[in-house]
Amino acid sequence: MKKFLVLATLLCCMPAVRAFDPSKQLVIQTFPEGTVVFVNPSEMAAVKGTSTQRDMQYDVTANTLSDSVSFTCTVYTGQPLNADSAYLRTPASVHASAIELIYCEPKSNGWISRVRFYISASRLSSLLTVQTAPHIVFGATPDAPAFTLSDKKWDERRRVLSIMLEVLRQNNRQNR
Amino acid sequence: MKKLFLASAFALGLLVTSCASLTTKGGMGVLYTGVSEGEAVTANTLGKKVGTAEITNILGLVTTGDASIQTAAKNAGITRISHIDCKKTSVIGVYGKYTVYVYGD
Repeated sequence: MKKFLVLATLLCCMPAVRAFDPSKQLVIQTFPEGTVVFVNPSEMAAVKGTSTQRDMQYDVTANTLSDSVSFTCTVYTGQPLNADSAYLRTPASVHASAIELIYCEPKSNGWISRVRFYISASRLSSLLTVQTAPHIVFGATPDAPAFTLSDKKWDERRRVLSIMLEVLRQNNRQNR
Repeated sequence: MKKLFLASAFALGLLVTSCASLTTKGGMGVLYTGVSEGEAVTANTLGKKVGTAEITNILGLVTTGDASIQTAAKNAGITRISHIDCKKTSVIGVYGKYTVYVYGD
């Protein structure tokens, strides 16, 4: 009986201790004109002291027809998000991108905004060489919603996004 | 007393097993299920935007979420849907997740 319970417990823990597999985070679709790569939704932690209410969910989409990679984000704030740019900040650089609002509506005691911004594949590629996780900030005010990742999560994200860029490079090569 | 406690815990485990299971076209795995399936296709050309929405089920006791096509399309700003896929995950029937992927422009 005791051995059975131990075995059952180990069996239940199996999914939790599997090694991180970056390719499982990608959905790749091929169509006549090219290839679409989608990175499954993930989260970025809210930076304390900013106007955001909780962590941000985001997903990434890219395709071989465009040099741009899109980040689609869900941001929770106390008031409607009032920002027209997203800033990707690393210790050495700041990259600004215009925000495209998908929707903004009330939720619980605040507001939920779904926004999208674009970054070029080459810029993203150079960003992935940075060891320290970047901050994504929506707006230019001191308390603008800001998000980041732990070092471990950033390392995992770098691997996933690197594979995404490589898929685009390889499929672009095939379409020539 | 100890035997009674262990037997009760085992019985409870049997009770909740498969409460969070899903059905798939290939059947369900007793230990683990992780499948992707097609849900629908339209006559529109393959889109370049992707939107998702999901439902999660824990122990068959609590099921929450919104995996509607409308929500998934809205999350990506899709106004013209090309096709819809889904992904179903179940772990020993005690944790289940259904995610819908909507593609379009």
